Amino acid sequence: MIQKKICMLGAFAVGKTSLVQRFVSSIFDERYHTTVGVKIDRKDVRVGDRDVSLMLWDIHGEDEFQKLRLSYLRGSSGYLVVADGTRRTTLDRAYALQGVAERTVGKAPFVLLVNKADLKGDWNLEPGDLDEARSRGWKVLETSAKTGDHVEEAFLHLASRMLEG
Amino acid sequence: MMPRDARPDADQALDELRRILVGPELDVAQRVEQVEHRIDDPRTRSEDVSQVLPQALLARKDDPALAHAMEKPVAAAIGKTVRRDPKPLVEAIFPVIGPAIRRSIAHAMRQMVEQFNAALENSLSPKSLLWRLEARRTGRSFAEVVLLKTLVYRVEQVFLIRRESGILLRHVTAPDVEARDANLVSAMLTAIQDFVRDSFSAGPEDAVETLQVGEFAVWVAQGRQAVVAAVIRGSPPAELRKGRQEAVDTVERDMATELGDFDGDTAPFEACEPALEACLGQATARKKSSLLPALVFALALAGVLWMGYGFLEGLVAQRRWEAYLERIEEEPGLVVTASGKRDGRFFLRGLRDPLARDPADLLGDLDAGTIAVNWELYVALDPALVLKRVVQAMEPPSTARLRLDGTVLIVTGEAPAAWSRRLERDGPLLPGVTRVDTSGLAEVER
Repeated sequence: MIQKKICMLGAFAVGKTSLVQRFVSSIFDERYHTTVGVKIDRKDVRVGDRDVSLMLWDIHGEDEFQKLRLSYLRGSSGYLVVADGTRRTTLDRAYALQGVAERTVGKAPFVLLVNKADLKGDWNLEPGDLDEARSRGWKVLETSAKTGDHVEEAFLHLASRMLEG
Repeated sequence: MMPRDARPDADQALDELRRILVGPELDVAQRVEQVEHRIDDPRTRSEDVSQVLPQALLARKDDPALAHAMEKPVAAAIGKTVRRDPKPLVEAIFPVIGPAIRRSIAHAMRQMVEQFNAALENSLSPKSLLWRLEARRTGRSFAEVVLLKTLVYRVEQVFLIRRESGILLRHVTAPDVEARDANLVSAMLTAIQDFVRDSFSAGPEDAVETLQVGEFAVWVAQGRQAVVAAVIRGSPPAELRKGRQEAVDTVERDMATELGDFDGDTAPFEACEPALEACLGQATARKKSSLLPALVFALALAGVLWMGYGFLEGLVAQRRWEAYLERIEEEPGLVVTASGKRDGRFFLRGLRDPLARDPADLLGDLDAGTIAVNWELYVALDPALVLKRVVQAMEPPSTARLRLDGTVLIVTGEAPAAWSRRLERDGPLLPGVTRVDTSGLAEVER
């Protein structure tokens, strides 16, 4: 069994926790976010013929009261950066967080998730906003906590990239 | 037309001619014949196949189809062998399962004795009622609750954790300990370490060494790349901490390469299990005074002995009573009409001929004081008693011999004529005698 630590980062209230809730095994509840600032869940995936257990550190969204604890990022083999399609600022924050993560854990595979795809009519992203990310070679997935679209794909993609590396 | 016996010569001649005409082709024909023979003859074919069978099996040893095809016949063959004579198979697998069974039994016995000892020692303590209630409430066995309550400490779980990522490398638990998702606990433990370190701006080498929650303590020993965390119930002695640190040091020394090149594969860390298991352990509080349990044990033993003696005694008395009844049944002139046991005493009601043997003579080892007997008199028609009655009433001379044939009294030998007359007259009046036959009796004058 291969085990990997991955992190999930994103601005406050982009829906990180609800995005993965249905897909992970969990024994800790929401309160950990507001107390310790991180909640850890497990996601088992199968890549080819290998079983991979992803330890998902869901790090509390940065807000004015709580700063991102960089120490939670250490030892990660990959990460998910989450933005909220209905709030343009969260995408800027996602770019910034990606930079922070890269400085902390080095070059590691990651996926940018633009959440709330079910509310696409309310999105206020400019047409070229995501192109910038894609042009940098990032994997970008439009996800929805409501429908679960592309969430499984995000885990699988990240897991297989980590095994390659 | 050619005569019949000349035919083989003709065949030979034809073969000869064929050989001359088509020489080389004949060899081919012969070979075809040989091949046909090899194919058609089961014995030759078996020999042929047997020569290539081992190589053929080896060549296909990785083919799942071969295993599938052989599965049923092999199972059937083993089944048949075992049914016929299980000994060879038993001998073959004993070296494997023998030690495993021994270990398992020894383990079970040790656990049972430990739990039993603890339960016995505490079975009469004032707390035991509360513990019994707790056992009922939690669904654990009483012995288990006693063990937990009398523990000074017990190391229930040991985690070997990759320091930076919090990934669980190995996890061992004490018997009967249920652990929740150890991978998540390991990661969260690491997160808490990070949290505390960040919150108090401690150095990267500083770590939370002890977490105390209710009756649980988590002791953490940190190495450069690995962390050993032990979950302990109760109050562990300080020297136990040394063991944790030794375990980390051992793992970091022995697994230096694996820790350095760690890429998420936890399999190699199985080798650390002995070092981690050495951290498991427990200590139980022994009671200072063992007088009370000893007294209880002695009383219980006395009770058991007393009950056993009573039971045995009852058994012996019953046996003697039955023998007494059997002797009575065999005795002429004694009839049992009712018998049994009432209020702890044997009783008997029956009929008794006054000429029968005194039942008191038949008591044997039975104590007359323990039985109640009620005899009613009657006249028995048993031949022995009829004769006895005749002898008592008629007082025959010693020269006369009496015997009964059914209800006919036959007299032989010699007797005075007067006595003979009296017998003929009074004999049939006696119970059990309907007629007297004196034809074989010689009458003598006195």
